[in-house]
Amino acid sequence: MIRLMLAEDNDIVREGLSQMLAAQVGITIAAEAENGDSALEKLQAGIAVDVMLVDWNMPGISGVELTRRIKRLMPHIKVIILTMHSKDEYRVQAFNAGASAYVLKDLEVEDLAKIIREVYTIG
Amino acid sequence: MADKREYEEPGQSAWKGRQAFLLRFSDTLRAYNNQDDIGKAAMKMLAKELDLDRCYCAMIELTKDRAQVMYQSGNSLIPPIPDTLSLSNFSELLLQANEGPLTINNVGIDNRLTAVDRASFAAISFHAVAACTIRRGKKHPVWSLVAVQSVPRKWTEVEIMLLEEAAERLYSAIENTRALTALAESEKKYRTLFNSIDECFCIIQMIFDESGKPVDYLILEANPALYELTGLTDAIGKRMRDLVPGHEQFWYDKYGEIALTGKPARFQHRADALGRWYDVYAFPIDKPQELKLAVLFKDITERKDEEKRQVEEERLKTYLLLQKSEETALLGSWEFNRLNGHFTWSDGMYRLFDLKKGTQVIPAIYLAHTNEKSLAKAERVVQYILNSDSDFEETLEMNISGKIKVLRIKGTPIRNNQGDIEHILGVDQDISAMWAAEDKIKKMEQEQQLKIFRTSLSTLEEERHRISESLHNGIGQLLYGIKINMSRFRTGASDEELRHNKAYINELLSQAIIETRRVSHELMPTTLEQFGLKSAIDDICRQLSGAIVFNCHISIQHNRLEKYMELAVYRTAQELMTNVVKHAKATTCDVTIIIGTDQVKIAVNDNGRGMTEEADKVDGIGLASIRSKIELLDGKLTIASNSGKGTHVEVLIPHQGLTNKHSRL
Repeated sequence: MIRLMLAEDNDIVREGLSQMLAAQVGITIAAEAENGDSALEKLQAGIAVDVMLVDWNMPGISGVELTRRIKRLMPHIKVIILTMHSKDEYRVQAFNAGASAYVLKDLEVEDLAKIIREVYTIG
Repeated sequence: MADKREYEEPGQSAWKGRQAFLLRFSDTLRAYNNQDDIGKAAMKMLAKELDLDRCYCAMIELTKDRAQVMYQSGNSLIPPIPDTLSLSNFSELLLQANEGPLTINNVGIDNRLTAVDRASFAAISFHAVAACTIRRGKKHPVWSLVAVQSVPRKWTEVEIMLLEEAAERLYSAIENTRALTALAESEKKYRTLFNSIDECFCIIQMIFDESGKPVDYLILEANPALYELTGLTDAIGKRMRDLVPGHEQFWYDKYGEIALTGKPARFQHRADALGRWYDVYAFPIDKPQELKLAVLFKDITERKDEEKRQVEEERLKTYLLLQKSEETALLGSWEFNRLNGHFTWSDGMYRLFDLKKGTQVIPAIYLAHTNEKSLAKAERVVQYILNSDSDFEETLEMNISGKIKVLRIKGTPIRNNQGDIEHILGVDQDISAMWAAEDKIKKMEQEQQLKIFRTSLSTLEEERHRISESLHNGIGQLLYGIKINMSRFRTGASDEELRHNKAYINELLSQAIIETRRVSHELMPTTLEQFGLKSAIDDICRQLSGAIVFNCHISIQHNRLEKYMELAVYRTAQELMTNVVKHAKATTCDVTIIIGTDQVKIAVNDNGRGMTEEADKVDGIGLASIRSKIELLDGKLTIASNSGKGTHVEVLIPHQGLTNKHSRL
């Protein structure tokens, strides 16, 4: 099972994703965080996570910064950036920070689950 | 009586002899110019000719009842007659002499006389009397010539005729002499006056050439003042051209005109050749064809000099004032004479060009001192000075003694009576300082505009950012949330699940609609537009109140604000309150807005975490853009904050409250 942590400040999106992805095969929601600080705290607290689904825009630590820190502290964790921004510049920033995937917030939950699995498998 | 003489006339020859005497008598009298001499000589001659013991003439003054004995001559046989005789003492007979010749041959026997008369005559030895009276009209005796003998005498007709004729000639001679004396006296008085007056009185005769042009005048007569007032000597009978060759034609023209028109004239004019000013009154005399003028004039040079001195003094004062003004205003004035090409500068001009006063200058000096940039303009200035027929103005950048000066040059043509341009008058002003100031203002304006541009740009960017954020974090997220949750409608879900999901999706859609409205409202505060500032601020408070309790107080002391000012107050309050929501971590926030008579005060005080860094207090989080916008409105933003003790932001914006319509506050 892929242990997934959601870092998303929007409650509706976070809860919706949590519920929908939890229903997908091979994915379990290891933790949820409403911002970057909370996510880091939980990781540092020892929650085991394989893949992080990180929102780009969050109050406090941004999604890119959170990615950079995760990859520095726990490089084995795969990070998928979830965003409304479609511009390539954002995408480049995300990959430079160590993200494994850059996903727009318009994907069907199934497609998102597929990407999570691919990232987890391929890295 | 014994010596009584019979003076027999030998007829015609006797009268001829008397006539010869009368000629001698007249000739003798004519030789005298003094009436006393004439009277005395006449008496003497008559006494001798007629062999009289006494002869006298007396002036008859009937009104005064007396006869004044003027002259007499005689021998000792009859004593001298008193100077004054009372007519009332005269015998009636003697008084008849006033009406015609009277002869008394023998006083002692003449029965026309009374005994008293005879006794009176005898007392003064009068024994024969002949009297002739000169009358004015028939009955107004003037004076009598009386011949007296100390012995009886038979007066002949010839003797009486001679007496009458002699009396007539004597009277004429005396009257004539008296008249001449009076005339001489009068003449003397006139001469004295004529010679003593300070003004010159002269008589001249105009001389015209063949074409009728007055070319000279002859000085016929003049009082001594002529020499005093002109410096001439020996001028009588001489021509003015000979006396003063350089005497201006004006004088000949003027006198010629008076002589020809017959109209007197008074004028003041300077005679340069004589070096004096004159006040003249000239008028024609005698017959017009004689072209004679009487000229009365006085030397007013001193007065004119004084006037000139005063004018000079005034001119000097004006000049000094001008000089001072030029100095103060960094001005210089100039004049270009197009007739002779002289270019004259005031002291101020020399100062402007840093040249020694009096240095000779020409219009081309502008070319010599102009820098490359202003050369074309300088050429125009020179052309204007030399040829322009209208006003001109140019501004030149000049290099003067190594310094850059900006001169504004203005010129105006001055026309003569014929309308021709003779002079160009101009003023140059050093406007370097003014230019520098204008330049500075221009730069400041540019900087201000740049600031406005930057602020506007940054405001626009902020707005876009906020809209972007609103769309991204608000509506976008909601829509994505809806999309995710749409997955709940999977096949095989129970009715209960479907109902629950539908309700959830509906709720999300409602939130999306509310969010859309909020964004829209944020973009354009319709409440402000429709209900005014108070309602709009209340709206913000309502919308933002949640985790933070906003206590909003709006005090309106002035109910008129410009529309842009309302919007500025609204946006400032909105941004300050949004900042509190975003950054302050506060639970309460007091917002006070006071619309005063001349300024608006916005105070936002929260009980949040406060600002930790000094830098934050200057350009605190999210406050930099607010500050720049406030500054553009001449407003001021101050922040007071301590860590953990909240933040107090105060904004003061001056306003003039000018709108004519009633505010919707």
